Formats: sequence, structure tokens, C-alpha cells
Amino acid sequence: MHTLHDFMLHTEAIAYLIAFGFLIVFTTFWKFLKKNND
Amino acid sequence: MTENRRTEYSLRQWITDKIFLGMTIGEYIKRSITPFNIVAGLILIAGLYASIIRFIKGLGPSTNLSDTYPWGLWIVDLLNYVAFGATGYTIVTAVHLLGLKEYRPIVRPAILIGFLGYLFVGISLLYDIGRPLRLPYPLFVSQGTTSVMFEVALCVFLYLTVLFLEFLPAPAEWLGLKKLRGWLAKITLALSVFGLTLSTLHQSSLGAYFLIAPGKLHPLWYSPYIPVFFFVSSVIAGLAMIIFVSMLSHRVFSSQGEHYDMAPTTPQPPLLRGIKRDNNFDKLTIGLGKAASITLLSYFCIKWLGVAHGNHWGLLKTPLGYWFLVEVLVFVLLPCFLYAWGVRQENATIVRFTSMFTIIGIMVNRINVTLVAFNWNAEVRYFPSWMEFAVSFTFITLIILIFRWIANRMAILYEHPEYKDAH
Amino acid sequence: MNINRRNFLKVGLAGSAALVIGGPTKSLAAEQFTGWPDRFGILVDTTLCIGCRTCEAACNEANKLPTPKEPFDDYSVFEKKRRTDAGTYTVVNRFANPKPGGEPIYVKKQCMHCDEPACASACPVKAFRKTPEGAVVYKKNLCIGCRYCMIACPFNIPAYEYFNAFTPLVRKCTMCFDIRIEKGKIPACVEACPMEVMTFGKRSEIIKLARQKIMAHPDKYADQIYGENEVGGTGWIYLAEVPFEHIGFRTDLGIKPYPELTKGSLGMVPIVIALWPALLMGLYTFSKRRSKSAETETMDSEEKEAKQ
Repeated sequence: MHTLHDFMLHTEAIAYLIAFGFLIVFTTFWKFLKKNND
Repeated sequence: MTENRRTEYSLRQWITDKIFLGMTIGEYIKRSITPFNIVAGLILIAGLYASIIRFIKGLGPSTNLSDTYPWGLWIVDLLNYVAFGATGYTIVTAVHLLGLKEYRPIVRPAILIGFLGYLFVGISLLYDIGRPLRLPYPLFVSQGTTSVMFEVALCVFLYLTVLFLEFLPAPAEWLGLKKLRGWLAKITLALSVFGLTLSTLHQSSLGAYFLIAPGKLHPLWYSPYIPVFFFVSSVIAGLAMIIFVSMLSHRVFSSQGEHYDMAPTTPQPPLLRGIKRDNNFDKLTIGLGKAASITLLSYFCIKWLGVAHGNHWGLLKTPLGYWFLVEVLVFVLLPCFLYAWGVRQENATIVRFTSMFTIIGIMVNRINVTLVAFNWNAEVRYFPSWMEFAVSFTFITLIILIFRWIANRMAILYEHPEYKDAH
Repeated sequence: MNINRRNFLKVGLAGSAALVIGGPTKSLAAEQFTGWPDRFGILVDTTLCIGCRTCEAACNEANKLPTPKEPFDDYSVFEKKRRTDAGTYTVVNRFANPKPGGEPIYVKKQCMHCDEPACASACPVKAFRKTPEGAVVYKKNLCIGCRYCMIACPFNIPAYEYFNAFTPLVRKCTMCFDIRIEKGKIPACVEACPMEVMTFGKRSEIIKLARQKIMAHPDKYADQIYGENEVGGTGWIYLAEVPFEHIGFRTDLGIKPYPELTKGSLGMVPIVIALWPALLMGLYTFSKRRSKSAETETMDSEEKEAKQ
């Protein structure tokens, strides 16, 4: 990575993917908790 | 039971009932010739002409945009649609996340305003960007993840989907699609959470656009806090807009008030006349006014934090400094006090008037950031062309017409009798 | 010292080859981005420029730009300050010399080919790219025409083809990247200049050259190298006889690279996406419990009343 720009393109893309992936994980996790612990 | 009724209908009957509100085409057309509709029609004709020029001849012949001013009136419109579209997430949050069930009557109009606002954000973009057919590129072809505009595109796209799904119960009820309606009720909470999350992001990002231009935005408006300013002012915009629109709808669609327990116990008052305090609708208005007042006060404070952070006190003595003071004192502090006065006096009329004033104030702020503080030291100034105005007014007219069309047919301003407990 | 741009090009290319073969490994722990190590730059010595506009003509020809209204030997254009536009990648402007009796100063203006370009940072479709050679290039097959690059550029360089109805493009100097640099040649304007105002070479070398010039002739040059650190460093470097604010340069742009300006705000986005759901579900649960307990309280008190 030679420039801040290239670095940010890389890091931001990964961060977005992690964040949106987490939303799916969170929804599943919440549903799981609700079932066993109303 | 609705399914049986539908099969008994002929298509013609269905169209007459659902589309033409039970009238023959002749009656419907006759009823449609009103002064408002004539003016609207003229605006649409001007807008159509301007649109043809824009798409056949390009941005140069149709706008006054230049290399010095690449963003003009249509971008300001966009910022305003997003700000006033905040009716959606503010009321949805109040009702579905904070449990303030008394505001349920205005959830649907709030969502519809938001949906139409964001829909026209997309349409405005099709007009403004040089290659409208490439609008999907940032999301689906080449993701410029360092760009605030990429993030806005992503969040607005997702949020428009959320708004559409939040709006969908109304047409589902209208068309008798019970299963769809049931499924939509189940995902309400998820949509509310997602909607507020996305709104926090893109409302603030619209301000963040300007972070990359410190040299071009006047120091009194440029601040690392711009994203916060835009987000907080979007709450204000949303509250003011729902107060304003519900005032108008209550008057225009007064016959629908009978379906809902929101119907006034006193005879329907004329626009802007003071009314008795035990009117449910007024109570809601005053409650919203309280929220608006508090938010305006907070916004007032953080604007000064921005000045302090940059140590720009000296700039207040310049011409643009005076204009900053006008924006902050007249269009932020004054409505804050007016709302507070209306709340204390339990006078919904004051709250409604202040809302109209606040709406102007938000527009002033967006214009200030985009066109006044931006390139404030440039030699040339920009003023929109008549075609830019024509398109602008056409969009507003279309939003009003579509809102009216939907509100006349679907359960927006009242609760559909067959789905009373479907929430 | 007789340094001309052709020598520098040779030395620069030889030096780059050496570095590429045996360069040090980069430590990613340090967030220092030193840029593409062998990127080119151009030194503009404004004390040599006579305002002949040959560079403008050469640029126009090399890039097949439209013929302008005023021919390139029309010097009445200097009466107004010009900027780049959709058909003009570079302009020369004339400034009055603040030194008494001083000759007017001519300044060539074009894309600065920044080390951390604001246009590239702002572009939502990655249509701008800083090449390893140093040129900031534009991909016309990606551009959606949002013109955010024009908002972002602190030097107001990118221009738009507003009068192209169906395929408008953003236009700016390309450092002759595909027409010359990729073919081993130097940019058209640099080659055409009869006064050798511009020196093309490795950026690190031309910065050194600039310093040497100032040290050798302190009366001839103001002690400032414009572009060395401005906005994180630019590819086009300037020397002048007078301080730069007198000859149309902005000296208030700071040294922070522009991508850093949005780093904080963008960084918060994934955080909000990750945290808001939990926060808001917590709020929802709290408000539900409160209304439930309020309901049971009223039910309890109603029961009590009924019993009495």
C-alpha cells in the first residue's frame, strides 16, 4: 500500500462487509435468544 | 372474505371503485378540474419541457451549472428531500422503538412523506448526474469505498427499500393482500431499527460531503461537526414537516377523520384558528412541538460548539458572519422559543405556524451550506436557470399529487377497518 | 550547474530501476504512506516563464483538444485570470510582480497530480487513480458524472463537459500518461517549452533540484517550494520569485492529505451499523417493559378497587 487512498479503499471495503455481515449474525442471534429466554 | 368479494368484482367495477373512487370517468375528470390542479398541470408542463431539454441537450443548455459551481439547485433539492424525509424515521422511532403509541395516527403519513421524498432523491439524481444510466455503478459496478458519496448511495438505496416496505402495508390493505400484510407486520421492528440506523448514517453523511472541501466552505459553516449538524437538523426537519403535513391533511382530507379516533370532538376548525385543548390531534401536534423545541435548543448549542472548535469568533463581524447569526438566531433560536411558547400555552396553532417557519429555516441552512458558504469567495455566483426551477417545482408538485392520490384511496390518514389490530 | 530535464529523466529512470530491484520491505505497522517510491514529478520554475503559451498549444495538439476561440499567440487572454475547462487542460496566467519594477510573473496551471488526490478520494466509482508513475488518471468508462471530484479538488482543476448531452466526461490534465509516459516520453508541455521552465523527473529528485536552486540563488527565488507538502504533497512542484500568495496560489490549504478529512466520518459508519441494532433493541425492550409494568400496575389497582 503506497498511498492512504489505496489503504482506505481496502480497509473501508472490509469494514462495510464485516458490518453488514454482522447485521445478519445479530438478527439470527437475537432470534435465538428470544426463543430460549422470553 | 375479501378474496370472495374480489372474485365477484368485474375488472371494470374494480377500476371504478379503486382508481376512480366510485365515479364514472366523466364525473372524475369534472371533479378534477380545480384551481390547484390547473396550476399543478401548468407546472408539470413546464417541467416536462425542461426535462426534454435536459435529457436531449444535456446539463449545459438546461442549467446554469458551471465548472466553478458543479452542484446547484437540484442538489439543494436532494438535501431538502432527505432532510424532510426524516418524518419517516422520527415518527417510526417514536412509535415502534420508544413505545409512544399515541403517535400511531401519524406513522403512515410520516412514512409516505419519507418514501416519496426519498423516491424523488433518486429521480433528482437521474436528472443531476451526467450519466443517469450509470446511477447503479457505485453499488453494483465499482465501489469507491473511500467516498462519502458511495456511503450515501448505499444507505439511501437500502433506506428507500426500508421505506417502501414500511409503506407497503397500506397498498396491501387496499388490494386485500392479507398474507403480505401479515408478513409486513412481523418485520416492523426490524425495519424500524434498520431504518433509524441507516438514517443516522446518511443524514449525517449528506453533511459529510463537504468535509473534503475545507478550502471552499466558509469557516463558520465548515466544521468537523457538519455530520452531526445535518443529523440533528434532520430530526428538526422531520418533526416540522409532519406537523405541517398533518395540519394540511387534516384540513384537506377532513372527511377521513371520521374513521379514526383522531376525529375532533369539536367541529372541524378552519386552518390556523386556535382550538380547544382536548382535541386529540392538537395534543399530538403539541407533543411533537415539544420535541422540536428541545432539538432546536440542542442544535443551537452545537452550532456554537462548531464556532468554538474552530475559534472563528472574529468572523462573526463579517457580512457572512452576520448571515450566520441570522441563520442561527432567526431560524434556530426563534423557532425554538416559538415552539416552547406554543407548548406552554397548549396552543397547537402556534406550533403549526412555527413549523412552517422552521421548514423555511432548514431550507435556508441547506442553501447556505451548498450555495452561500460554498465558494463564498468566488468571483462568479450561481443562480438556477428557469428550467432548473421548473424541474424543482415539478418534483414538489408530483410529490403532493402522488400523496393525495394515495391518501384518497388507501388507509394513510385513517385506520383500515379490516386491519385494526394488524400492527 | 547545468541540469536539463532530459538528463534528469535518464537519471530518474535508472535510479527507479535500481530501487525496484532492491527496495526495503514496508512496515504496515507505521501508518506512514510515502507514496509510490518512483513516481514522477514536474518542477516549474516560474522565474523562467515568459508567457509564450507554447505549452498550452502543445497540450492542445497532443490531447486533440478543440481549437479555442483565441489562438495561442493571442496575449490579450492575460487580461483575465483563466481556469481550466472541458477543452483546456492547462492555462498560463499573468500576475503583477509585487516587487517594485519587477517583471510580470507567468504561472502555468494544470492538474497538480497530488500524492493523495482529493478527486480519487471523493469519487464513488473509483474513476480516478494515482498511478505508480505519478499521474492521476481518469477512467471514462466508470464515471457517472456526479461531479463530486470538482467539489473536492482544492485547486479547482477538473472541468465538465456540460454541453455533451449523452456522454459527458470530466476533463483534466493526464500528465500525458497514455499518450507519452507509457511510451517512455515526457509530457508534451514539458518538451515543447522553449525556455525549459519545466523539469520532468522522479519527484524526490526534482524536490532536491528545487532546494539546490533556492540555495544557489537565494535572491532569485522565494524560500518556498510549493507542492512539496501542500495537501500531502503534489506531483507538480513550483518555484517563484515572490511568495506564492501573490501569484494566485492558495497557501491556506494545509499539509493534511485530503483523504484524511473524511477518514473519521467514514470510519464511524461501520461502527454505527454494528452498534445501533443492539442499542435500539435495548431501547425497545426497555420501553416495552415500562409500558407492560405500567399496564400491570393499572390492572392491579383496578383489581384492588373492584375488590373493595
